[in-house]
Amino acid sequence: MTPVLRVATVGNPNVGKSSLINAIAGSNLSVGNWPGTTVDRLSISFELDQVHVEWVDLPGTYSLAGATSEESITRRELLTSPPDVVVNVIDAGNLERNLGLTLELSELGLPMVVVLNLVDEARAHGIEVDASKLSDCLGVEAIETVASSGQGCAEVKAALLRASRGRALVEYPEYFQAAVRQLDEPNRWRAVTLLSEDVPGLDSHEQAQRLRRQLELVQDPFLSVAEARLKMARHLTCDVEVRIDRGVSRTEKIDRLLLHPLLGLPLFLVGMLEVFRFTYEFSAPWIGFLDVVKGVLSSWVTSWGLAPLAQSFLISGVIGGAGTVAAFSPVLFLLYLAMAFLEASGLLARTTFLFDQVMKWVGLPGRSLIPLLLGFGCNVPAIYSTRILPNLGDRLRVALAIPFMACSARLTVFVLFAAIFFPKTAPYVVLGLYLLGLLLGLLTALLMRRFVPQDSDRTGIMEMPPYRFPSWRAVFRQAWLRTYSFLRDAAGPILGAVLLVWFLHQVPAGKPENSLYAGVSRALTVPLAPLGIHDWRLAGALMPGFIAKEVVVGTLGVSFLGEEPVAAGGLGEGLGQLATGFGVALQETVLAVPKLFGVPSAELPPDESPNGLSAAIGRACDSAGALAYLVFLLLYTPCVATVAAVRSEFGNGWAIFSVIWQLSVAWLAGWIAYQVMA
Amino acid sequence: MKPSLTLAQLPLNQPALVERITGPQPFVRRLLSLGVTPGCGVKVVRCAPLGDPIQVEIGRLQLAIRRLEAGQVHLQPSV
Repeated sequence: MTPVLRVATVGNPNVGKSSLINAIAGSNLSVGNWPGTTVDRLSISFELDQVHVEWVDLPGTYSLAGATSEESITRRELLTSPPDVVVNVIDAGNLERNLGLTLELSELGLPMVVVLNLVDEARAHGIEVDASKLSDCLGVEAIETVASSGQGCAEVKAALLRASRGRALVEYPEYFQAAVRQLDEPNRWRAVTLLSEDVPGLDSHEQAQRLRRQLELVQDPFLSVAEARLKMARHLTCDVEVRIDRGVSRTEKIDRLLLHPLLGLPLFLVGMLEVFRFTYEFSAPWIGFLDVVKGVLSSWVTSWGLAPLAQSFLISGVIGGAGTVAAFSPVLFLLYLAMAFLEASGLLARTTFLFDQVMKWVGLPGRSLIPLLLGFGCNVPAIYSTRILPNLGDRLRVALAIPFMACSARLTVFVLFAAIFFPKTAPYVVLGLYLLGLLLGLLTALLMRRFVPQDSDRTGIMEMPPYRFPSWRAVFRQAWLRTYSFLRDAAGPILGAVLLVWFLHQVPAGKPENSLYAGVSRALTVPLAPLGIHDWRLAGALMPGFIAKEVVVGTLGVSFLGEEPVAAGGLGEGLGQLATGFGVALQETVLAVPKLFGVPSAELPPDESPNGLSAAIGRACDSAGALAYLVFLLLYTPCVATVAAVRSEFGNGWAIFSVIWQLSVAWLAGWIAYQVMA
Repeated sequence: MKPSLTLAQLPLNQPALVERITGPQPFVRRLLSLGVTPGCGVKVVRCAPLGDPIQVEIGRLQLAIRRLEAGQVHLQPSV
C-alpha cells in the first residue's frame, strides 16, 4: 500500500492559499463543505515519489484561538486530526502580521513548510524578504512563491517530504513561563492557550483553571501572550526584511478614485450595472442556443411517431424539464464568474467600506449589499454568495430578503403584462415593482433581527486587502465548480416539479379545461379572488412559476392558445440547425462585447411572447387585477432552485419559513395593490 | 491634563501611537491578531463617502473600522 501524507494549508485570509492549491492541483481540484458548516473546502490529491498526498485548504484565519467559524474549523482540524505537514502560507509583503500565526503553529509542534507567497507584489512595494534567514530562525524550510503564476510550486511540493518541526520562539514573561512549566501539558500551544483564554472546543481542566486564576492576579495573561507573540513577530521581521520606500502604492492610487468622497458611490453603481449587462448580454445567446437544442430534440422525438401520450411525456416533460434546468446555467456561470472576480480582486472589501453606513439601518454589514444586488440577476447564486458574510445571523437575514429581489426571469412577465395593461407607463410600473421588492426585502431583513440568533463576535473591523488581478484559472474554475454543484443539486427538484405539472395536465385525458391542472388552478382562484384574479389560467401559471419564473409566459401561452404543434424533423436537418444555432450564439457573444461599453438604454427589452397572447390576456382580467397579479408574482415564493439553495445553506425549517413568509407578504401586498387601483 | 484622543477623533493623515484598547474581548482580540497593539503607529487615511467607517493604516495594513469601535482605541497624547 502506498503511504499517505496528509497536508493542510493554514494562513491569514487573502494570502493566496487557494491560488497555491489551484496552481499545485493541475486538474484534480475538488470543492466540498466543512462538516457542519457551509464554508467551502478545497482539496486535492496527487502522487509524489510513491507517496499519496492528500491536501486540504483550511479556512483563512489570523489566529488558532478565537471563536469565528473559520478559526473554529481550522483549530478543530489541526487538533483532532493533525495533518502530517502544515503548509503555512504567508504574504511576503505583510510579514509581521502573518508571522503571528506562524509562531502559534510552531508551538503546535507539527512538521511545517513556510510558503512566502506574493513575493512579486512585495518587491513592487520595495520589500525584500530573506527566505533563507527566515528559514534559519524558524527552523523550518521557507520557500518563495508567486502562486498565481505557479512560480515556486514545484519546490513547495518537494519540500513536503522533508518538512521539519519549527522552534517555539516566543519568549513569554517569566511569571507566565513558570506557569507553563508547572502545567501538565506537553503541547506548548495548548498549554499557553489554556492559561491565557477560553477557547471553544479546547477542554480546560482544573489545574489549568487554578493556574490561570493565579496568573490573572499578576497581569492579564491574554494580553501578555498577545504582546509576547507580536514582539517576536516584529523582531523576526526586522531581522529578515529590507524595505525601500516606493511612495504611493498602486492600491492607494486606485482607492483614491474608487473610494472618492463624491465619485465613489456613482462609480460603484456603474460597476454593478456593468456586471448585470455582462451577465445578460453574454448569457442571452446561449439561452437562445439551448432553445434551438430543445426544438431539435423535440422534432426528432416527433419523427419517431410514438403514441401521443408518450410523445408529450418526452417533449413537454423530459426535454422541457431538462431545458428548464439547463437554461439556468449560462446566467449562473456568468454571475459566479463576476462574483469570484470581485472577491479575489479586493473589490468586495471596498463595497463594504462604501455601503456600511447604508446597510447599518437594517443592521447588516456593508457587504451584504452584494448578495442583495446579485439577487436582481438570479436569486440562486445570490443565496450562495451570502457566504461572504462572516456571521450566520446576518447571512440568514440577507438570504430571507434575497427572494424579494426581482430576478431577471420575472422581468419577462412584467414586460408582457405592463405592455398590455399599462401601455403608457410601462417602464414606471416595472421600476416600481423592482423598488417594491427591494423595500420589502430590506424590511424583512430588519424584522428578522428579532427572530434570528445574533453572533456575539460582530466587530465591524475588516481588512482592506491590496488590489490584485486574480488568476483567470482560479476564477473560471470556481465559477464552473459552483455552477456544476447547482446543476447537480437543483436538477432533481426542478425536473420532478416539471413532470408533476405535466402529469396534472394529462389527467384525465381529454380537453385541457377538464384536466386536473385546470381543477387545481380553479381552486387557486378562490384565495386569489380578493386580488381580482378570477381567470384559472392566470392562477394556474403560478404553479409552474414556482419551478422557475422563466416558464410563466410559456405556460400562459399554452393555457390561452393551446400547445404549439412540433414538426417532425430528420437527423441531418436537426444537426444542421444545431450547427447554425451554435454559430449564431458564438457570433452574438462576440457582438455583445462592444455593447458593454455603450450607453445603457432605459427602454424595456422587446416582448417576445407568442402572437395573440397579449389580446387573450387582455381579456382575462382588468388592469387592477393585472397589477395585483404582477405584485403577487413578484413576491409570492422563491423558485424551487432558490428554495433548494436556502435549504442547503440554512436547513429545512428556514426554507419552509421563507416560502410561507413570502406567500403571506405577496397576498397582502397584492390585495392592497388591488384595493388601491380598483 | 488633556483627555486622551481616540482613533475616532484623530484628524486625517496625522500619525499617532496607540495607548490602549478597551471594549469586549472579541474586539480586542481581533485588533491584536491584526497587529494593533499598544505602542504601534496608526493613521486615518480617509473616511467613507457616507462618513462611516474610517480607513486606518497600521504599518502596511489597511483596516476599515466603524467610528463607534474606533472610539475604543485610545491614543497616546501627542507632545
